[in-house]
Amino acid sequence: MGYLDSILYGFSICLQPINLFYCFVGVFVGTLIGVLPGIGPVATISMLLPATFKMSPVGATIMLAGIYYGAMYGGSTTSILVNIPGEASSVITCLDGYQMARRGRAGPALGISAFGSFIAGTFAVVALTFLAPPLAAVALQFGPPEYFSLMVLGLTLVIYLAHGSMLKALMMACLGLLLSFVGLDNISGYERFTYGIATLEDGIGFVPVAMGIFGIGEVLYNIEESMGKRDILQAKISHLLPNLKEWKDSAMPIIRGSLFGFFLGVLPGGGGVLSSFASYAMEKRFSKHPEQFGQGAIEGVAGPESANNAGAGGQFIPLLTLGIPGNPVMALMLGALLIYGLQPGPLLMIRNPDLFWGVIVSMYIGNIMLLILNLPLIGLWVRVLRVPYPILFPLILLFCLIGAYSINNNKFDVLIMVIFGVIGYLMKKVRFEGAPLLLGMVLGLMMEDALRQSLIMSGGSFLIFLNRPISAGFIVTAIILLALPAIRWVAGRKMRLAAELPRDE
Amino acid sequence: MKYYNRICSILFLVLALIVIWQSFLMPIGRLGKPGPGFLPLGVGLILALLSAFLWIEAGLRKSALVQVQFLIGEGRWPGVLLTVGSLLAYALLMEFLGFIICTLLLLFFLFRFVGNQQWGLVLTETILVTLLTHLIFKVGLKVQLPVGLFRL
Repeated sequence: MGYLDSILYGFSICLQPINLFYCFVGVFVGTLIGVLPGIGPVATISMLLPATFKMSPVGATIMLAGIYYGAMYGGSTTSILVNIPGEASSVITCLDGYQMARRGRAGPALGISAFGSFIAGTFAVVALTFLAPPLAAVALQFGPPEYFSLMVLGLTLVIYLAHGSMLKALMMACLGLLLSFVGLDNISGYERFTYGIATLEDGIGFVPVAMGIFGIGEVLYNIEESMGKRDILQAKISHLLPNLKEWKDSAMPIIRGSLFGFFLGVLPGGGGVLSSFASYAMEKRFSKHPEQFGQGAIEGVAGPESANNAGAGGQFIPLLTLGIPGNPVMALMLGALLIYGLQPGPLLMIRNPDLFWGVIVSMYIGNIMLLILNLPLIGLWVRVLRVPYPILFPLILLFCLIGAYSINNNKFDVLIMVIFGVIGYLMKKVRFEGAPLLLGMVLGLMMEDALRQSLIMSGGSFLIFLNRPISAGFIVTAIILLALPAIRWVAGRKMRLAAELPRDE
Repeated sequence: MKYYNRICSILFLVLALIVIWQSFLMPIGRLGKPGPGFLPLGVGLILALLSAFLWIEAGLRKSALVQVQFLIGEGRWPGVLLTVGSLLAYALLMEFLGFIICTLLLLFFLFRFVGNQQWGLVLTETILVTLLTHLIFKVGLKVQLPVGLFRL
């Protein structure tokens, strides 16, 4: 099938009324949770996952994808109006977005972030359309050693890009791997870490763990910290359409944000957060008046908001072509596809073209829906923002409870979720991140299978990972990334020592 | 933070040692044919090593400025404990009492005692949310929710 045929085929799938409906529900819910601080796409997708079991896999995936990129749109609204990021990827938008709003320019800030998001989101889908098939063809050549090395690289990137301590992120990834080993061994059927508990034989589900850490843990943290108190800008929002000068100032940041954001998004571990931060730094460097950044520069809103949407689109590439998730949301999507009986990876495009092209093309339509939802209906979201946290948090908790129970109709999953909720709360306190844990947990068994198969192939030699060029490339990159902080530390120490030397020679 | 990092490193070390011990009880296999205990042992060893690094790093860093406080803030901390307690109670009782009764009790408790809202509002919200979620999830999405003792 040529590109045009594929795209037309995709449209024929996602223009079916039921799929259009799912797409709308997805982007609507995505915007909603994007606007609401304290609940993100990971918790939402895990909560809604069990409810999708009765839907068609195509419809369900279209909806879940919509939640993810919809949240990227909604996140900026909260950043601009309340100075609290609705999503992690909108943290940087607070800097200039809120300053614009304080100076009475909330309208153009919201407008440019919606338009920028639309342009970048559409660019990412076009790039995804053209890049995914050739990449899937390359991935077909991969054997177990390449897959193992790629997963090691993916996990390393997530660790490297962690916001806090890399050491802690590495420990979290190990913990995730260990959690994935609980249950029956894939190859030998041997019971591991089950301690005679029958429900542990199937392993610990990553959906209750994700809901616990990202849903319950977050709520507990908010209850204690602030009870979600926030000052919402009371001024009336007008002039959503940016004027000519604002467009002129934003054009290049949007273009750069789209390109750069997409390519950072393709990297495992990349995605919205990294893309938006990188774009802000880049715009500040390119700007003729960098001193205006932080004072309400429209470039500081247009660039990052475009980049995080392009990054979200890019994240679908490793999932759809390699079957490897790059962030916790994609890990959930992978889990969802497996539950629906589909195998994400290079063969997905051939075996399930309806899902592959249906989901990609649904993003074109979803982006248009989001533009409509976020511009004319902005008033609705501002009203949603005013829902007080004491009303909101019991609802989030209840949805988590229902979601956890309905995975297997088993209270065991609910208990796991609550336990990991407490763990997530403690992790937030002592600054351990949840993303490496979740990714380790999802990749754990796949990595183990690939490692064991590779070692069997090589008769026990680890050199197999270095003898094959693609695999060697992945492994060497991973080693460099892990070694970088240590090198920087040693170099810094040398410089400090040199500075302390007496200079009177 | 240094103090908490040290506690974390001890906790992780204990976990790693348990994993290593348990892995030795499984067939580890050999390099050419790794068994089910092979990777758990490897990851356990790495985690033990990382825990030791965290202990050392905690001593080297001078970032004692970062304060970690548990259960803080103007009398809000009981909210965290109450919430965790009510969630655990919900998990343990939901199959016995059923979704509707458990949800009514949970929401009432959270709205009133953690959210500190007024009685009238609490009752309205509790009943409305329970009814709506029942309609959406059980009737609409056909999610199986526990009916419990009273078959509700």
